[in-house]
Amino acid sequence: MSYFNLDKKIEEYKMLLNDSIDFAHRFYEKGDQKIAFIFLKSITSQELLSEAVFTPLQFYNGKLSIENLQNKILKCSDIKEIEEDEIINEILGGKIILLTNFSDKVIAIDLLKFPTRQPTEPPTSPVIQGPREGFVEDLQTNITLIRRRLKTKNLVLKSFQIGSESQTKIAVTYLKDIANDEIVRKVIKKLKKIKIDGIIDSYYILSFLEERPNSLFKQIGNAEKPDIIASKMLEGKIAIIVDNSPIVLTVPFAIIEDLQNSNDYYTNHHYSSVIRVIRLLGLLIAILAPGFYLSLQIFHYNILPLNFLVTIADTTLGLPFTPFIEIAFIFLLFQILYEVSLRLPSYLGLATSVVGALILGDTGVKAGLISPPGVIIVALAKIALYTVPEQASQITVLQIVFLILGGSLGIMGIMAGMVYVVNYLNKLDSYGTPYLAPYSPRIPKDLKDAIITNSIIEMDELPKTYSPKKEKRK
Amino acid sequence: MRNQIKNLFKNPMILVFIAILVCFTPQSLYSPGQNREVGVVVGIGIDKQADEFEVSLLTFIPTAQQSYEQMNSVISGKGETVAKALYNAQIAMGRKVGLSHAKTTVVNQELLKNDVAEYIDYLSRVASLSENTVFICTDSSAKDLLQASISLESTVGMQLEQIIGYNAKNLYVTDTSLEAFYKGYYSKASSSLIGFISVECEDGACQDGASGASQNIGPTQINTAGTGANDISSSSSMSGSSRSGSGSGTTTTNSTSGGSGGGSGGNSGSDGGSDSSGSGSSGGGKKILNEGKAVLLKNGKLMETLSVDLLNGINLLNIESINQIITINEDKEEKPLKFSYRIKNKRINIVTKFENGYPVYGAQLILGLELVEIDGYHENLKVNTEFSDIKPEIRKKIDQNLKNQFTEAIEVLRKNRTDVIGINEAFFKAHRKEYLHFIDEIGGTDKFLDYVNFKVNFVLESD
Amino acid sequence: MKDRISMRQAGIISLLIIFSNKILLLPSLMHEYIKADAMFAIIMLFAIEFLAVPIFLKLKRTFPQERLYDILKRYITVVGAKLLYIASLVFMIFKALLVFSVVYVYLKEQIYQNEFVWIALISFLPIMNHAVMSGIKPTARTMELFFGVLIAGFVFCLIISFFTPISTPYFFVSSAKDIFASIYKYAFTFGDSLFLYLIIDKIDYKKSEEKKFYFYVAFGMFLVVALFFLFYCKYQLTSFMHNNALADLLVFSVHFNAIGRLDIVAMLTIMLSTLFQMELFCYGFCESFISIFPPLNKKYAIILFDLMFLILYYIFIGKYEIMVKSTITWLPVLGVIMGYIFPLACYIFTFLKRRGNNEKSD
Repeated sequence: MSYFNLDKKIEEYKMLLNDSIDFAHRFYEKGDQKIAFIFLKSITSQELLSEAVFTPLQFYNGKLSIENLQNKILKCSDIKEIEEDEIINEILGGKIILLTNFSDKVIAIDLLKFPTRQPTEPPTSPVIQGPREGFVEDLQTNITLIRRRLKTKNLVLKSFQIGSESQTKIAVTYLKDIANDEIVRKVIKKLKKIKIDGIIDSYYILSFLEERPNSLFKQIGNAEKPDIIASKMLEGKIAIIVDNSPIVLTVPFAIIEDLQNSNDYYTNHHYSSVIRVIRLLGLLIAILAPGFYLSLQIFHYNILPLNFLVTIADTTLGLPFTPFIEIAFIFLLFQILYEVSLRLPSYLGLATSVVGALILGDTGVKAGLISPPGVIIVALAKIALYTVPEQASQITVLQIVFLILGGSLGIMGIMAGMVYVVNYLNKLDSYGTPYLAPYSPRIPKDLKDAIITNSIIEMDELPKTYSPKKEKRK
Repeated sequence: MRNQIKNLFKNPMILVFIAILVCFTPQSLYSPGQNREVGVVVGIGIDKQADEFEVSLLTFIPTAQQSYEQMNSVISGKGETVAKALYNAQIAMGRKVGLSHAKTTVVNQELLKNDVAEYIDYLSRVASLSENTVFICTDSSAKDLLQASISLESTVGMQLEQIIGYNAKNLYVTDTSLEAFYKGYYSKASSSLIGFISVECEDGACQDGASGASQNIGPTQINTAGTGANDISSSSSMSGSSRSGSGSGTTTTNSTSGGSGGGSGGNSGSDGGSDSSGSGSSGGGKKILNEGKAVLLKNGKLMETLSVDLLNGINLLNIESINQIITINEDKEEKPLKFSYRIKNKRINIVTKFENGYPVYGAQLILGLELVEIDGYHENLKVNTEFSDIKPEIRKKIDQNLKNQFTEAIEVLRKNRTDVIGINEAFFKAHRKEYLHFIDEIGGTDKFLDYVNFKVNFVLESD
Repeated sequence: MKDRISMRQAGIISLLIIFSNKILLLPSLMHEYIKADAMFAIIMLFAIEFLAVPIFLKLKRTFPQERLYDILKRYITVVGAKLLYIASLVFMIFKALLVFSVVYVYLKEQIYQNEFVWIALISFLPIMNHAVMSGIKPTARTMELFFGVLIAGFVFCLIISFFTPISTPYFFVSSAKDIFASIYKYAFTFGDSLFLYLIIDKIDYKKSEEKKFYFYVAFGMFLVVALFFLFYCKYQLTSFMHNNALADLLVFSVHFNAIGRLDIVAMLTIMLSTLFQMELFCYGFCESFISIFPPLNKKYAIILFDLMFLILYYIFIGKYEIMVKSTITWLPVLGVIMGYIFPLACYIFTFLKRRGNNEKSD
């Protein structure tokens, strides 16, 4: 009795996979027993295949059976029985499929192998002191990196496959004794609802997880380093790891997270407080400085101290533009330079900075197109933006908004805009977490790790902001 | 796109917000900077000639590639009221007048002949002019003073303000601002003290306007002829104050010099075109003369010009007035010596009471004195214990000197019925009933000072 | 998402609403009539206003979840409740107009230098409307966030005034009759606790946080009293010349504008507090409107508010002087009703309720 017509099956799968050039199969025969191995050469390890599968098979003298294969012969850790209709997906997932003519069971052996990076320090979040490992594109490695930091039985890892074409693996991980069940349920529900063809990066699922996807403001946290994710999970957050992306998402999110930096926890907390205050100031300067400067020029020359007024009047006198156009022009110039410097190969970076700083800036001033105070203000705002790089994209939009408000309505407009934006942010919440917590609403206990931080010893309670299950950290 | 718009309509407030942004962007696009529309006024001068007012504005108008000095000019306008004159000045300037940076207001003595509050009513009403603007008076014309102040320093009228600031802090020991004037004006004695700066003609460069002040050569002279680098000269002669009885001179070193090196020369005072009214008073050859004087006003009218010594006497009872120099002659047999002491610190105990129905103002002044000079004696830099302790006879002389100073000052105040040191207030605060009763008896607060018996006692402390 | 606020937020709201025009115009206005004795007048006014707080808390304890309208309906019938709500509607819009016109004049003189009524309206109205649209919770949270900044600015202005010599003003120069007359005259600028009554059902009451609530109200009153005191100390006889108390306190403390324009701190503080007050007045108006006409929703209330505001501003009250004058001519009646008689009535309701309960249990 023959269970599978192996040749026919192989032909069938070959056709299903469009006769791809990396489609491969092998046979192993022993007497009338025959085993077929089907796999994709591109994503499986050939060495492991011969070492863990073929060599043991050759040295085995007994009768072949599925049980023997699984338990005695094959020297692989990840062997499992699968259903016939899963075969294609398993092949695509880097498994080697064993079909036999003596059983109707199908075995899949995980010998996945593809080129991966080492967990090196990510360029977006370098540290001065502290761990330098960063996430990589491989889900398994990323899980390993988290596991290594949280050796607890409470760590839960749940996996999903999303994307009709990409079949991307997504892992949801959290600490079950801390993370709020309601939020976990909500996240999983949202993930399951996702209908998409492919997920190329974790940002693809970001919008699906956000409660107000149309909002300018991000409502999901992210990090590229396992130490950050581990510490966030310890606060009761849920991490979502997406295969092929080094960016791990976390929910719930409060804006204070972006003011916190992993460096803060690896240095003296007094210093961290100073740095956080500076970061907050940077944020405010970035958003408000150009608009404020513009409003001073257009509406409120009288607020300027006389000496500064003299300087401004002197330098802006010969300009052909109105103040708004001037600032908008410099703004555009900076934005273009920024975009260019991002895209250009590194060896051209120096050239851009020379062109940007010297030629455009200096000559622009000399040519009487832009004024030095204008350049300083916009440059200040643009640099201050990167005190909180995670918020850079939002702030850039806000800069433009406040520029218009300052130019058209003056300080009154800026103040009104500020109140409007804060009011709007107060309406936003990410999975029940107020966006501006712990300041509004004020959560006194969480202020220990807000702008002014306390030492780790004093942070003995879990932040209530993220509604964790328990109160004490232990 | 349609969905996006739909989403917008879900939240009408965002729509409103975006609409505001869109509607107002064009407006902000074409709004010019205010500094192109406004002439920034840093000093205001008001002169009265016959029935006409002349308002002069020390204005800063930015001009590319020019020195600060050249950007300043005095523009004036005439009119029957201050407001009208200012309006005319605005027309002459061709820009909107921006008063919010005005730091100095000068009036000429002519205005003080009547109640000055009636004339400066406009200034107290115009909101953009801050009430803590310096308020001073000058002997000749306010316009000349402003013109003379142009080339004081490269940055817009700062120096004039600094001089007055120094005076106010050390000599008047009270603000000389619009606010301070009104405070005095509305006080019980309706009297106030404001600064006085005179303008002097240099080397006969101008014939008119050189009033009596030009005969005194004060401690600080500031030359404004625009001759370049260092315009500030020092003079060692002393105003001949006869009252104090100490005829000795003090050598004043110039503390106001500083970096005026940027002066580019150029006869700034009569800089072409700056004088739009064409009133003919050329600023050339005029200089500011700061003698530390102040004027005493009663009901806004000028009563008396006070010299530095009188001011010191008036401020003896003011705890903040220190650094005054007291000079004593010691007639030693072999050689007369002059001792100069500086008041280093001051403590005052004041007791006010009514004795037999009459007010008594008792004050004990504990003065810390520091020997700063012995004229006619020199010893090579060694610690001098002989002089640092004040001898009884010198002590007596200092005491007498201070008492004279105080008496003279009070005499002047009594004569003019101007209580600028707040004696009325002190009695009102401490003995309200008796005070009001007393006032009723004598018929008004004006005469109160005449009845006050001052018992001032000086305690001198050496190092 | 429930639109509810904490006791702390309610405390902050009551602190902010106390400021209204008391921090700008009132000190000089009162000085004109009763000199520095205005201090006694406002202390007395505050004392009465402060009594509204325990009454409010008692009412909240007695009727934990009920809307004010329902409470009123029970005791003074639907007509009575509606009439009272109409009074509150008028009270709120006139308060908004008063604060707006006072602040508008201040801003016009100090920073805009021109007529900028459209700019002011476009800055204020959408923010006020947005506050109503988004509900009391985000609005209260926003206030909570800015509260620290605002108070820091306010205290800074007060502290700075010590940098120049000040002396205590002369008290007891006006007769008691004048003082009491002025208490009545300025009653409209007080009585702001009414707003709390309007949102009584939206507060999460916790007994443990009562102290906090008292603290904020007392702190707000203390700040205003301190401002009055320092203002009179500083300006003494010329107080009546200074229409912008908080800002002037700062301006005149800096000799010869030594540190540039420091009064920007006062300006920002005033703008911020005004924005919040206007939000609250608009909210109070809309809340009253919805209670009077239950089938209509917030949107209608907002449109009506905006229209009334514009019409009253342009046609009826257009001029600042008329507005200020009307606050001392016919508006005090409204102030007395809403600020004093109304809380008293509420106090009686709590008794009635208790009696009702007792009778039931009997």
